[in-house]
Amino acid sequence: MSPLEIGLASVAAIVFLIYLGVYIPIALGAVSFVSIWIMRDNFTLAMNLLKIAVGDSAMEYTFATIPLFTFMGLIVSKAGLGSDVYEVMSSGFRKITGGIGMATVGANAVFAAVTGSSIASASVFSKVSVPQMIKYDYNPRFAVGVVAGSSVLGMIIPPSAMLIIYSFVAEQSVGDMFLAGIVPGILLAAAFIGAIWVMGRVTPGFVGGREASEYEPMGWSEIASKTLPIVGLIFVVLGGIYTGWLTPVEAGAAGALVALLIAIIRRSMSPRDFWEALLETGHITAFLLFLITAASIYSRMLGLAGVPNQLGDMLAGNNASFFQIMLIYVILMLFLGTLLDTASIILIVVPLFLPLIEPMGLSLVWFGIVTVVGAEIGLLTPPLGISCFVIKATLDDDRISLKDVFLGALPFAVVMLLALILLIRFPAISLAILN
Amino acid sequence: MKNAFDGTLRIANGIAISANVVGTLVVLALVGLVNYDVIARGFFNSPFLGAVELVQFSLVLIVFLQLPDVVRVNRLAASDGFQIVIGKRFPGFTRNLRRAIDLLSAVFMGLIAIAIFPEFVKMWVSQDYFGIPGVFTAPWWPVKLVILLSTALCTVLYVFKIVKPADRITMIKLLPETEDDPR
Repeated sequence: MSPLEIGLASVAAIVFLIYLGVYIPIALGAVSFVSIWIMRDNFTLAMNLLKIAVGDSAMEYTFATIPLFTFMGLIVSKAGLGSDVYEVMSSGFRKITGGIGMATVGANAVFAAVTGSSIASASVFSKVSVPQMIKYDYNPRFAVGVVAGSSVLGMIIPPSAMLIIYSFVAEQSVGDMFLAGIVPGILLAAAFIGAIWVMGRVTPGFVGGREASEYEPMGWSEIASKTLPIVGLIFVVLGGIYTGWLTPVEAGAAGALVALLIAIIRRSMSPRDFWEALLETGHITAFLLFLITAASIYSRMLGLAGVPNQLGDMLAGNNASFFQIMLIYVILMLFLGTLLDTASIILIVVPLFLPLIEPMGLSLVWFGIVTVVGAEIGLLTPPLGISCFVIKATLDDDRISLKDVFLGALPFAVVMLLALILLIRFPAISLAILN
Repeated sequence: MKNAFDGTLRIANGIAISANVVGTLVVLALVGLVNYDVIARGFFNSPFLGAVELVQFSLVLIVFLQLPDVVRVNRLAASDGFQIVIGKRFPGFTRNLRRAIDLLSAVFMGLIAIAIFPEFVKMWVSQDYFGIPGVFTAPWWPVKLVILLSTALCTVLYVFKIVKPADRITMIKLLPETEDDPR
């Protein structure tokens, strides 16, 4: 077998093993290790690459953003900042059909600016907004669908763990990726709200619901006390990065400290909550960085096999257009999205396609936004839509089946796909803030 | 024999849990360290030399002190759809499949430990350091030692899982509510 064949066979083997249920980092690392060994017929070389990958990946300074932003996100969820924003929004949208749905999207967008994970968003909002929507006779399917759909905003609107991971693979600055994520994130949130408005007109049966009569209009002082903490936090983190006063690592640490102070002043967090947030941060960091380590062995293996270059030559030989390459890319991400989590998809596909995109003179920042949005669609699609599983597990209500969550999320997955096409066609959307 | 097995398992789990607690405290130390640097530099114009090196070192500590606990509670992400589909019809096959997966994981973790070991010895002997000489330097060997001990412990934990596979399949590995914690 030629190195190229071994390389392609190992990509197939990794996908197969993951389907069987092998831990994703183990599948990536073990298969890549074996294929390097076979390709070069050199066990020592494979061991050396293993040693370098494991030693180096965890020493990457910018990865300190992962525990810091994860910690900040967990603290703000425990401090109840998410439900505060939700209350303000739902009082604003109370007169519109689907209003609570729109409020959920809006609150998610704001909450996303202080948390880097869709999982956190999904679990917070299935607790606060689904029961409210069911109370006002919304279709349960729509209620869970809105939460699932809008939870993806958590990973697109900065700070986002996925943007950090992409910036490592593609060697882009974390700060640039964060700033680039703002406009597409707002665009997607607006598209979701627009979609709910259209659904309210065209298929009122799917939305359901009645005017939320019991909501009182909120006074300005209440609105201020519920929104100022989160606005301040966004100002510290994104403002700090935008003005260049803080590096992303420092912004993460400052954000975590401010979040902690807010939680202490409001006395909304028990010591147990605090300890759990710390434990959770450590687990997520250990998992993500181990996954990244395994993926770096994989991308070294691909490089040794020459897969990305050969793939490039092949597509160039067939005169593949920009449109065709992006079509293949999106289809591949959607396919992997059916069984992998977003981080794994990014780590598997980006090293394959980066060498194709770079010579075409396309912006790698733009490519990162396209990748994260494309990989996120997988959070909503069966059989392994992680956001949908989280919602099902958090609700723990037998009347709402997993199928309901997936069907409810489907319209939002379609909206995401349309937004993705827009983002691909008009790179300026992603690059607007940077220029 | 069974007692010895359970005893060793308990010790291995205990080490993983304690390492996890230490790693958790490092997260807090990281928040403090970076904020100290930001304030010292921004307001008092006296940056904390060595912040970068200490951040790097604390990352290694967080990841490798907590990895064994992630392994212990089965939170390393995997796609369990296939096993759930066939689990009911072929319970024996599914159990053996999980054993095979844990065996593969044990071998891989073991290989990392074996690959790191000579590196640790080399750094221990040479007392090599990282950072900028004259500004701030830290020795390499503690970094390598943490990785070595952590991956060795992960290997042991996976070997125990082969012998005594978990009965329950959990779907989500990233959520505290569904954490499968056998403590």
